[in-house]
Amino acid sequence: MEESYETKEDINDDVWRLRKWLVNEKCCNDILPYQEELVTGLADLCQFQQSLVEQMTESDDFALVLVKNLKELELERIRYLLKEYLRTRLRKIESWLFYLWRDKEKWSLLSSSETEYTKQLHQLITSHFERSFLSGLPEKLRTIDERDGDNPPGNLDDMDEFVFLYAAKEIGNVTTDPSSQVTSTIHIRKGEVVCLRYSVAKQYLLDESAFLL
Amino acid sequence: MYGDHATALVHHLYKSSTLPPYNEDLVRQVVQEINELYIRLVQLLESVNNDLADPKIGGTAIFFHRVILRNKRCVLAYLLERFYRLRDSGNLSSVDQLDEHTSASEKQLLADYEQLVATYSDNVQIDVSSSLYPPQALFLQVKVAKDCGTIMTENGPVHLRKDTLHYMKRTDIELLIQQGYLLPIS
Repeated sequence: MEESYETKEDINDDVWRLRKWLVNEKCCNDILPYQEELVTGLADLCQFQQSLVEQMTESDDFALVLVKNLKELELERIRYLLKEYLRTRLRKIESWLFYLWRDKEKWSLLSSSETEYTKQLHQLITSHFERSFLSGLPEKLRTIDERDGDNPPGNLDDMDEFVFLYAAKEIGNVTTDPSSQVTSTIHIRKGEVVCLRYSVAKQYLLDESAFLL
Repeated sequence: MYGDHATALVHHLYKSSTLPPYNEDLVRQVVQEINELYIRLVQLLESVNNDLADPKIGGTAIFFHRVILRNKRCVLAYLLERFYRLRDSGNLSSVDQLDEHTSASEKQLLADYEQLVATYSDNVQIDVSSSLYPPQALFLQVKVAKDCGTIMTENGPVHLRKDTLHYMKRTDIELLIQQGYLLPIS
């Protein structure tokens, strides 16, 4: 396993990093920081590569056609990664809309477009609630009450869920459950796969010394 | 019994894996029940001048209050879950097909949501509503399910008549596949 990851990392670091961040997003119940530099850098590269592909003239030469098709397919795959990364984050925002609305500190993890998206979507959904249901209730019950925990519907993220972590670098000793009275530590070496609580694993995801599987 | 309508509403959605018709009657009945409970709660509190020292009065007031909150939450969960299912029905452009199953407010919400996603795509300059599946190959063999007329492709115009087979570039026909006009043949 270690060998295959290392090899891919050498081929194209940014694409591989985006893939890691995509899997990280998909495998955790949390919103991770938006990788603006990575996304805009790859989007620009895709645009540049697209212009190169378009410059390749139509030809009967089989080798040229093959090269052009391969380049286009590679572009499509990278574009898919970009779109899927953005889509995964939007799906999380949609699922945790009311939770995010309460916890504005999380907004620092979103891009400016995502923040705007969150605001607009919250407005759309609350308007829908009002049109369909809340407008028929007595004045005092029309608000979406956030204090009692009953309303609104929406999931909370679970920081203590277990995740599979692949160590891309040497991590060393890690306390597996800081909240527990019994201290237990494990030593994580480069290339190892371990199952840890997300709250413990998160810091290694952020500094890219590990990623989720 | 109090709360039955709200439970039935959630159960109605839970039983179905697709999108059942919007149950306006049940929503209206839940609203009616909440209003009725609210009036009883207010009257109860007024009758004792908001003094809940008597456990019988306090217990009844808490019961009314909790049923109101539960009913409210059930309807909000129902509306939100329906929105998720509508969103995941994949093809927002053919919402007309779901006409009978959606309320007027849901139609408006979907139209606004579609616009919101388009605005986001414009902002990031990446169309997030396309390429829903990892691309396996550049070209696809497809069967035309509904007449699409003539479309322009990189290699010139192609006439897509019903029941004909075509071998085309995926990016040229992705939207038509999403809209159900073309069926990929694997």
